[in-house]
Amino acid sequence: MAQDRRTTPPALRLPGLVFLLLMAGYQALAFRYALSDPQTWPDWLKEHSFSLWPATWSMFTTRDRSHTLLEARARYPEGWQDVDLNAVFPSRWESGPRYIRKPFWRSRTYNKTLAWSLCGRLERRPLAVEITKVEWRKTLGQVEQPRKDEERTRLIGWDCEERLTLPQGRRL
Amino acid sequence: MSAPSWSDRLYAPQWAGSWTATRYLYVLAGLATQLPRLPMIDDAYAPVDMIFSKPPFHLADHLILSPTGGLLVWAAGVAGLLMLAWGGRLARPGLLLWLAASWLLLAAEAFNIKAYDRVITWIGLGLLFGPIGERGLTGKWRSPFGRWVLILFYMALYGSTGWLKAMEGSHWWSGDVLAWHLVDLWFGGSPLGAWLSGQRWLYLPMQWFTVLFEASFPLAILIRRLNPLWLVAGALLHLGIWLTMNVGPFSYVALSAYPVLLHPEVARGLWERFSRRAGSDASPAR
Repeated sequence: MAQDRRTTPPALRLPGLVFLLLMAGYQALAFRYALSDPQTWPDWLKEHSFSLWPATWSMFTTRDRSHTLLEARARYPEGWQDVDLNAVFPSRWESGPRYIRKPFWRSRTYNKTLAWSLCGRLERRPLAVEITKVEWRKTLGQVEQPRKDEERTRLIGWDCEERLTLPQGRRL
Repeated sequence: MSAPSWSDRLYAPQWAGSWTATRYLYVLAGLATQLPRLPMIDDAYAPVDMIFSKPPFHLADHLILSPTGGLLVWAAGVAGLLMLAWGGRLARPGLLLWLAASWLLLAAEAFNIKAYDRVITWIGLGLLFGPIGERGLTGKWRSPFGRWVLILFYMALYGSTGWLKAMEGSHWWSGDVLAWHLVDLWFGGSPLGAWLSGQRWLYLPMQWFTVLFEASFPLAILIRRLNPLWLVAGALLHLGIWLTMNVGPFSYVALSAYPVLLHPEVARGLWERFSRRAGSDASPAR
């Protein structure tokens, strides 16, 4: 019995090859700039810094010797109370909560949104909230990660009366 | 008789049975990605407060998903995966629906796009060009174009991450990069991974294996004799990651296209051996 064999029609073969070459070029370009210093990027990449991101695969490439956590506390008339951020913002990915990601806590705008959302999400509305970044060195060889040489950095203090405008002018 | 042209060689039909396996594995990987998003819709994908507009995702400047809208988009993604699983004429529309719904949720969340979100999209691109809408593929030979797209993507994925590891300060050759990742609060912390992070004699060879496998993949995958060996090595790598780290559905997603990456004639040989064995096992009952 004859085999059922079919392939790409001749008219589509050259466009197909061009597509493969463009894809290879794009992936190669993304590799070229994956770990390079953004200061050295060409102007077009500085302007569109995310244009190569879909094909950038620098996964677990560099050393990371410290843990990072965010902690929060809320001020009520009777004083400050610690807040469990994980309970207020329960979504968790394998990389942790999204506010743990470096681009998040490095951004003043995102920290404002987090603080403002925290004011709105707490059962009893506080007068103010404060968010602190805690970093400490990892310990190899064990599950427990004691907070050795802990460093605390205050990211933001936020008055809950203050208004914040989200995209599209949205306010709570 | 004239020699075959470049296009005849590049587009010579290949045994297509592997596409069925990859289609089903892709659906499972997609479900492993999509189902855990359900409880996070109100909090992360369609919240009323934590809304961001961030490059490259400016969706929130134009559209903010309500929690109900987020739920509908999520359900559309699941429906797309089920259509893809059903196959036939529903396969391609299903794949497109899944990709569109998935990226709508990711764009609404705007902040947390994972490597596996991008990997599953590139694999989806390969599937779009493959014969996923046909049934009975184990008896058919089809255009290899979709397979070339997938091979090219995996060459870039593994090659790029392997070469970057090999070059970046050479910590992957002599240092302890992996050990630090194995005790990460989020990605690491499993008892096995934490124990490994203290065993330099074990994690150092694991680092070498990772870099050698990844950096050599772009060449090895194209050589018929090495192709199955490198895919077995890749499966072991992903099994190791799955056992020692928490990377979500990354391992399932990455492995889902392996059947198509396997050299089609090797895959056909395996299929025929399996079919013969299944036939001989079934024959007494007949």
